[in-house]
This record gives sequence, C-alpha cells and structure tokens, in this order.
Amino acid sequence: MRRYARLFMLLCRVSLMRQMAYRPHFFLMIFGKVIRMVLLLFFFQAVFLKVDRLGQWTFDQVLLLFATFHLVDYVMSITFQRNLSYHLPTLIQSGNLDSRMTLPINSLFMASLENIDMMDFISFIPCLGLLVYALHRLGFAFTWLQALTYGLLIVNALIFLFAVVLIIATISFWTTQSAGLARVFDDLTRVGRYPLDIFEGFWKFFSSMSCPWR
Amino acid sequence: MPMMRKALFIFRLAFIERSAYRVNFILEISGGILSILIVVFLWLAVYRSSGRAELGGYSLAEMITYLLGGGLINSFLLTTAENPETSRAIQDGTLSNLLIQPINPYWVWLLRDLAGKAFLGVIGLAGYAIVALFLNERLVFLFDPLRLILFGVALAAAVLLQFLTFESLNLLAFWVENTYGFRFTMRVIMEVAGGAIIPLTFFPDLLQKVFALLPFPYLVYFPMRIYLNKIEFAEILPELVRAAAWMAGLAGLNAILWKRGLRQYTSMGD
Repeated sequence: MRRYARLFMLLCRVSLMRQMAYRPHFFLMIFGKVIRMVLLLFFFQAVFLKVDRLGQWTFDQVLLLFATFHLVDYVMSITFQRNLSYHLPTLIQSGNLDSRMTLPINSLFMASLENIDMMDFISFIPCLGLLVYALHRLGFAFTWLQALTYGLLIVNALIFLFAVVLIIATISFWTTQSAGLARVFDDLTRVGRYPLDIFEGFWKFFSSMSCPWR
Repeated sequence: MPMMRKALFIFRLAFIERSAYRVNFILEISGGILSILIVVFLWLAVYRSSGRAELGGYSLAEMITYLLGGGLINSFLLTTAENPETSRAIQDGTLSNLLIQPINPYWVWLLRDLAGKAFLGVIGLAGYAIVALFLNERLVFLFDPLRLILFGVALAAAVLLQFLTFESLNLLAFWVENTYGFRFTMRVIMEVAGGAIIPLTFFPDLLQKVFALLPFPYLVYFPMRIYLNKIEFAEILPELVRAAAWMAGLAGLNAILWKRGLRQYTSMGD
C-alpha cells in the first residue's frame, strides 16, 4: 500500500513537471477552467433572477448541489477519468499498453493514474472555496452524522463512476474508438448538476434510474 | 476554374476523412443533444416555477427553439471545430510540406474547417431533427423567406467569424509551443458570451454590455434573434455590417500573424 502511495506521489510530480513544461498553456488552462465554473455560476444566477425556487430548491441549495457535483467531477478528472476514457484507448491503439503491462505494478493502477491532471488539481481549489461558501450561506446547518454520510456518499459516487468509466474505456479493446461513448457519458454525468425536480413524470423516473451517480 | 476544382477536391477529401469515424462523431453530437435536452428540462421547470408565460422577453416555445437552434449551431461551430490542424502543422513542421504545394496552406485549412463544420452540421441536423419531432408543438418555425435568407447569411458570418478567431490563436503557434490553452479559454468564453447556453438578455446588464463589445454574440445569439423575430429588419443590416467589420479586422490580424510567423518559421529534420 505504501509503495503505491509513493508511486502515486511520483506520478503527481512527473505530471506536474510535464504539464509545467508549457507554462503559459498551464496557467491559461487553469484560468479557462475557473472561468468556466464562474460562467456556469452566472448561468444559475441568471436562472434565479427569474424565479425564487426551482421546484423545492432554493438558490443556496442549488449552489451546494453545484459545488458537490464539481467536487466529484474534479476528483474524477484529476485522477482516473481522462486516463481511462481517452489515454487508455490511445495506448491500446498504438500498442504502447504492452510496455505498461510489463512493469512490476498493477496494470489497472497504472492505466488509471498515469497522468494526474495538475491543472484540474489547482482549479479544484476555487471549487472547494465554493463548497465552503455554499455551506456558509446555508448557515453550516448540518450534524456530524450528516457530514459523515455526505463524505461516504461522495466516496460511493467515485467508486461507481470509476466502474462505469472503466467499462466504457475497455470497449476500446474491441473497437478502434471509444471517445464518442466517453463523451456521451460525460454529458450524462452533467445531469447530476441539476436538481431532480427539473424533470417530471417519466423523465424523472428515467433520469434517476439511468443516471444513478446523481 | 482549376482553383475552384482544387478547393472542391480539398473540401470533399476533408469531408470523407471526417466520415471515417462517423459513429464516434454521431456519439459526440448525441452527447451535445443530451446536454441541450437537460437544459430544455431545466427551462421547462423554470417556466413552471415562475408561473409566467414570458421570461427575459422569451416565451417557453421561443426559449426551447432558441436552445435547440443554439445547440445545433453550437454542435458544428464550437463543440469540436477548433481547427487545431494549423497549430499542429506549425509545431510538428508539416507546414513545410504544405508550403511547397501549389495552394496557400491558409486556404487549405479554411476549406478543411468548412468541410468539418459541414459534416458536423449534417450529423447535428439529423440528431436535432429527431428531437424536434418530439418537441414540435413547443417549437417556433420560421416561414418568412427573407428572414430565412438573413438567418443563413448570419450563420455564414458566424462560421467565418469562428474560423478567423480560432485561426488567430492557432497562428500563435509560430511563437508559443502549445496553443491549446488559448483555444480552450476562448471556447469557454465564446460559448457563454455567444449565447449558446442561454439568450444574453438573461445575464445582468453589465455582462450584457461587456458581451456586446465582443464579436461572440454574432455566433449564436444574433442568428437566433433573426430566426425568432427578436430583431427588426432595420437593425439587421447594421448588425451584419458590424459582423463584417469584425471579420475584416480578424482577417487582417490573421494576415499579419501569418506573414510575420512565416518570416521566422524554421523546420528541421532529415
């Protein structure tokens, strides 16, 4: 276990060095990612300029949902998502996966964490700030048990998402491309950004059953 | 005439190349449609919660039409069409091969970009047509031929504006090693400031004023305003002139970057 923790730290360092090789690109990407989140927040604000509630949800509650969604999304994209969805199919197609398989470490560990996205890691900090801000607006009204349940559910979501992303990525062992399917999944996960109350009838049932990661 | 033949040949070739992984593209466009459908559901809920027939000057039918139309334009304009070929050719030196060919590489990139957009447009149109079938009672259809023509002109301007904007960032590859950061940031800003997510009237006044200073509203917001009859005929022409001025300015910038870049371009190899 300690060996893998050390290896993970090493992969983080190598990824940072590789991504920092193009510094303007590195900082522009962070800027772009933060801007994207801010603009999405403007979008929600624009919605709530017109209504007080979305179903049962107030703006502060939607803010907390938005921050939680991005918390999970960021952890996923910093670690396994791009490695499995886009990098693994490329390795399979180019035949470079062979060299990874001969390494004296778990192949799945390497395939999932070879490139740690340090740009996302840095742009994750404002997301944490947003989470704290949303909790502050809600008056930090939660018990320790609720906080523990929240943490456990986030871990549960990450395990579930890892499994789905891995299933999609491994399709590329048989096909030449799986990026399109990975993108569909990316778009499907975005359902989690919105309260379930936006759907009605069949679509409410469908979205809760077809997107259980929400 | 031989020039026209060459252009058509490049266009056809790029179109065929794109079709090689068509299932992949269909899936990518489907993802985009899915995102738009979720936003449609969101706005249905917003109109339901507000209990009003009109929000931000848009009725529910107009809003759904805007979201689907904007989504369609977005699918071939912004989603995957950033034309990274230019910066790649400069960075890996394949520009040298293009420079000795009897056609200016800049036109090759433009034609390939147009072909890519045409391909994505065709797939997007098919996908959105299916969605429109289910939502047709909630959609606004345009029957005025003059407005349809102006909508087409605005769309053509949007296609060129998008190409020229990204091309000026791509040409920075003569000086910087990686242009993806520039293009990514530009795409993020473009999507929001262009009105691809919601009509710009929904944003606070200050943001609307800032967005109006940029060329991006001509990408989605302006064509959709023409389609939805949200702009008078008398206002359309001055807006088109402004869009043309932006295009001329960006084309000038592209020409300067191309000339100066070529002056210092070197490629090495065996």
